[in-house]
Amino acid sequence: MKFLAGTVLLALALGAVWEKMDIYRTGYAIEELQARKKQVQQEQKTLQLEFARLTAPDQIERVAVSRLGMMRPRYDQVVLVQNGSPPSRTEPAGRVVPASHTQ
Amino acid sequence: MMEEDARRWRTVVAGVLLGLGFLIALGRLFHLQVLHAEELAQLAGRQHQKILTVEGGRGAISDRNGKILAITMEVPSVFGAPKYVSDPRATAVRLSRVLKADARQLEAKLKSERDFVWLQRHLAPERAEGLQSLSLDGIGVIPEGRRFYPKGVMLSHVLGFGNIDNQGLEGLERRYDAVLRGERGRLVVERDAFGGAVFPKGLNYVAPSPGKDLVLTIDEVIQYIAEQELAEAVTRTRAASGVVIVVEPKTGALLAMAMRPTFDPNEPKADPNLWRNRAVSDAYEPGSTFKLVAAAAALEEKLVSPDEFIYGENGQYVVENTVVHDHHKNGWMTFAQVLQRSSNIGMVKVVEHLAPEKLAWYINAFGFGQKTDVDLTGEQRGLTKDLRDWSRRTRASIAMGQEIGVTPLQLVMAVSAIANGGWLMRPYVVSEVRSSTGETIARFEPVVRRRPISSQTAKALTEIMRGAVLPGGTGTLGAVPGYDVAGKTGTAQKTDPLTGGYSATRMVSSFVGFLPADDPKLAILVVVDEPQTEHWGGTVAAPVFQRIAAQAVRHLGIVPQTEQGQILAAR
Repeated sequence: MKFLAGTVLLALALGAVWEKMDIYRTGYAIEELQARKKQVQQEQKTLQLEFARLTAPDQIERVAVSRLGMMRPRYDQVVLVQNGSPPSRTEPAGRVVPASHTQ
Repeated sequence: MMEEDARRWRTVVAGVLLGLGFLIALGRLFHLQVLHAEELAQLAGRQHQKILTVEGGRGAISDRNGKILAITMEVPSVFGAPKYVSDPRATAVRLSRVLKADARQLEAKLKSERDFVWLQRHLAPERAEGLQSLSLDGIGVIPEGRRFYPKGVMLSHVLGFGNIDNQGLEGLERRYDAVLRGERGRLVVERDAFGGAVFPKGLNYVAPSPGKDLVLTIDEVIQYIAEQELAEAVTRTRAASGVVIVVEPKTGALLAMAMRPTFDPNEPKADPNLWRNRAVSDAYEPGSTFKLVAAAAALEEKLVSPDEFIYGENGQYVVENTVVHDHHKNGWMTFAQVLQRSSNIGMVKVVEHLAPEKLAWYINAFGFGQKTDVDLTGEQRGLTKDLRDWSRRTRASIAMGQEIGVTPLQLVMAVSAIANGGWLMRPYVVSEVRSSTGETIARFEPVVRRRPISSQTAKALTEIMRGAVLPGGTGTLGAVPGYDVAGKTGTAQKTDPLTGGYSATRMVSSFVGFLPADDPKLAILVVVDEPQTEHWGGTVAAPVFQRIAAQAVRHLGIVPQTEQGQILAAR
C-alpha cells in the first residue's frame, strides 16, 4: 500500500515537472518563432525599400537610357489603341483606357 | 514577601511595556497597511519596477498605385550606461573605430553622470555587427525606427519629414503625425538591486499598435514627369523658383505637386527655406491667368457674350489717370479674342460694367482670400483687399491679375471649377488611411465647396480658353497634339521693393489649363518665378505645360480625340 502511494506521488511529481518543462520548451519555441517573425518582417521591409528605390522613375529612366540605350518616344511614335470598336461621333471623347492597353 | 512583590511589580511593568510595544506596532501596521496601503504599494512598485516605452512602427506612405514613398525600418542605435564603463577612454577609442566618430566626444559622454547616453543613433546595420563583436561593458545596441524616403527629392515638399525621434515636423509627416505614429506600448520589468531589468512581467506588457499607412492621390509617374520638366525649365531660364500642380478637376484629387528648388527629406538639414511648400504658402500676383475669374464674373452676370465686340484702343487706355497697355495694338476684337490675346484693355473695359461688390463676390466664390482646406501644412489665405480698401483703380487692376495675391493651389482649383462645370472642389492629397495589415480604415471622398458659376458660363469660358492655345492665341505652345486643350497664359510683373512700383525685369510666368477640354481629366498649373532668359508665360510656362500634359495623358491612357490624334480599334 505504501509502495503504491509512493509510486503515485512520484508519478504526480514527475508529471508536474514534465508539465513545467513542457511550458518552458513551448515558451522558448514561441520566443524563437517571434524572433524569426521579426527578422522576416525586417527582411521584408528591407526588400520593400530596395524595390521602391530600384523602381523609382528616375532610376528606371537612368538604366533605360544609360545601360539599355533607350530614349523617350516622340508623339508620333506612340499610338494609343482603344480596345474594341472605335467610338461613335456622339460618344464623349477622352475616355480612359487601362494603361495595359497602351504602348 | 518583599521579593515576591518586587517580582510581581517587574512582571506587571514588563507586561505593560510589552503590551504598549505591541499596541504601537499594531498602530503602525494599521497606519501602513490600511491608511496608506495604496500609496505605499505604488511606491514599492516604482522602486522594484521599471516602465519601458516601446515605440510602434511608423506607418508607410504610398502613392495611388501603391508605390512606396516613405517607409520606416528598424536600424541599430548605440547607447552607453556610464556607470558600468570601467575605462571610458579605452572604450571610447575602440568605439570610435567602429562608429567612425570622434573618440574625445565619445569619452566625454561616457564620463557623464547620467545613467543613459546615446552614443550614435540610426547606424548602418553592418557597423552594429562590428560593435557587438567588441562586447564592451556598459555599451548596448537597440533597434530604433528610421524613416526612409526611397524616391529622394521627389515629392519632398508634400511628404515633409520627421525628427530622429520619429515626430513629424513638416508636410504630411506633420499633418498626419498622430495617424502615422501609432500608439506607444509599455513594458513593465522587474528591477534587481542594482536597478537592472530582470524579467518581464508578462501580464504588464501593453503591445504598441503600429502606425497606420497613408495612400495618396499622387501618381508617382506624373509627379516625376512634373518634377523633371519643371527642373529643366527652371534651370534653362535661370529662374528663382517654380511650381507645378496637376489635379483631377472633377474630384480635386492632387496628382502631382512639384517645386523647385527642392531638398532631400532623407537629409533635411539644409536650408529650412527650401522646405516651404510654395504651392500653398506663397501668394503671388497672378497676372493674366486671373482674367479668367473676371471673365467668368462678366459672363455669369451676362454683361458680355463671347462674340461681343470690344474696341482695343490700339494698345493704350487711360483708367483713373493710369495708362493701361497691351502687348499688341488691338482694334476691334470679340470678348473671346480679348482673353485669347490676353488684352488688358479689353478686360478692363469689360469689368468697368461690373460692380465692385459683384467682382469681390466672385473672387470670394472662386476660393481666393481663403484657405482651400487642403490636407497639407502651411497653407495661406492669399492676399485680397477688403472691399472698403479698394481704390478707384482696384477693379481694373484685379481684372488684370494685379492688387491681389493668390496661392498656386487656389488658382488651379479655380480653373478646375471652370473645367468641372462650375463646381469648386476641395483639393486633397490623402485618399485612404489603412491599417498595418492593409485594411481600409478611412477613405476620403471628393468634397464640393460651392458653385461660383453655372455650367453654361463654364462651357463658354472653356470654349474661349480653347482658342487661347490655337493660332492667334498667346498659349499656342501649350497645345498638345491630339487633344483639345483649354488654357490661359500669365505674365505678371513683380513689385519692386525699392520703388514700390512694378519691376520691368522681375516677372512671374505662368500657364494654366486643362484637357481634354470637353471632358477634362487633368488641370495643370505651371508657375515659373523670375525667369532670366525670357519671361512670357506663353514661351516659358506653356511649353512646360505641354510636355507634362502630353506625357501624363499617355501615362493615363487617355485616348486622343482630335484629328491630329489617332484612334485605332484593336481587333
